[in-house]
Amino acid sequence: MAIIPNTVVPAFVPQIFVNFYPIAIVAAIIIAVIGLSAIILEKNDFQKMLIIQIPILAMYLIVSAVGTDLAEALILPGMVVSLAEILAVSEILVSRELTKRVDRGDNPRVMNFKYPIIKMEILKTALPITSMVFVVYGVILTGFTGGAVAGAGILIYVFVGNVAGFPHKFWEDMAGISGVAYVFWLVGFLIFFLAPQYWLIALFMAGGGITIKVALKLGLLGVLGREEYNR
Amino acid sequence: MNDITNLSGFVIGHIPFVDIVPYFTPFSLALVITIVIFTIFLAISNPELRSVARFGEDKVSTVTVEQKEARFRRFMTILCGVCLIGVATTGDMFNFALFVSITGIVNLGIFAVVRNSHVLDAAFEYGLVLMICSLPLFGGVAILLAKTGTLSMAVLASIPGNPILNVSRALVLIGAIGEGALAPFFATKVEMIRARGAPFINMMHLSSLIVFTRLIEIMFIMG
Repeated sequence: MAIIPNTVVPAFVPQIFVNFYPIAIVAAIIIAVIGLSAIILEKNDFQKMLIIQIPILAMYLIVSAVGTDLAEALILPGMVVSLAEILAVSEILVSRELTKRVDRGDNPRVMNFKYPIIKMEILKTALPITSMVFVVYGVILTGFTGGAVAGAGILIYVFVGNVAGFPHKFWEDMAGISGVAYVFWLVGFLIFFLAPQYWLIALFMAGGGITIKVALKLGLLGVLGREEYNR
Repeated sequence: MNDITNLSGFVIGHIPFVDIVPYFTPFSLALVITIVIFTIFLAISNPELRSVARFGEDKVSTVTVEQKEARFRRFMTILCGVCLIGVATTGDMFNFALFVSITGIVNLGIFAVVRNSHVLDAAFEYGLVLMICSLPLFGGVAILLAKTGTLSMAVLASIPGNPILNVSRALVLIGAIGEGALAPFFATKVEMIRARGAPFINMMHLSSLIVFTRLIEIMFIMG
């Protein structure tokens, strides 16, 4: 059953990890079959676009089943490409619906929400604490992961609930800080290559810079989404 | 068991990026020259003026393309040319998969600005095919990596074929066919060709052609 020959896998890798590989591939195939059959059965276009995430999840599973550093480096471009595809297809869906409404003679910008948005106490009180926990944990983690966690906290704060947030000017300043942090990250990497004896300062610059950059980028995404929604 | 030089002639040169190694052979150089000439030709050309005559009426009207739409589509066309150069010259399997899927997205972008519900319907279906086909494409490359431990085409060319490699070959074939809108999937392409603005949509045919030509070479390299 072992698909990988032992010549490729180094000797210090335990055999149990090697034996997990066929199981992961079989699981991915099962997930893909489930997702694709759901796409065949589904008739609604929007639902189809959501269900397609299931085969893409199987793609991530196959790539990550390789389990090396290279696989980790490969999964990121795969995610970016699939994200770009989702964005492009959803833009096409929106523009198609608008075009159809214009062809029918309707007003394309009128949206009728059948149900009002629920006003719950917990959406006001629990959100700042939750997002603060995320941000603190992300700062402790540092690096790309920490930035993503902290950014998720900011995203929850600005996007999910109806909280009295910061003014618009504040977020524009944050965009500037994000750019400066990006420069820090790049300079840190440059120091790694040019002067390896200062690796500690380079590590701190790169780790801190990428944390701030990713966190603020995710937060700005949330702000953009909220303004788009409220417009 | 094939060597890269057996397939497409001697290697003229390669660009030593860190791990992205584009290389040029007479075969890929011919493809690159074709792409560059075609892209320059499209970039300097104006969009068509289509005359529409309705049956039964004595009236002919001219359909024009707006300046903004034409500019966006021209930009997407040039971007598609750049991606195709990547497809034709890359020496790394994963980069091939990435360039092919980016080509698909950019092809979608050429049609996304057209305000015609038929074209947008077809473009949406093509987008669904794109998203589904990224599963076999990247999955095939990942299985290849797990089996051989390398993604470099120069190394892969000297590895003899075996059943597992054939599985990943088949997966890459299916994926690239879907992303490049080749044989069974070009029904959506026919609908999309109804979009107005003739010179830019020809980029889609060129991308199908280049992806197909390069795919054949890759099938031999992986074998």
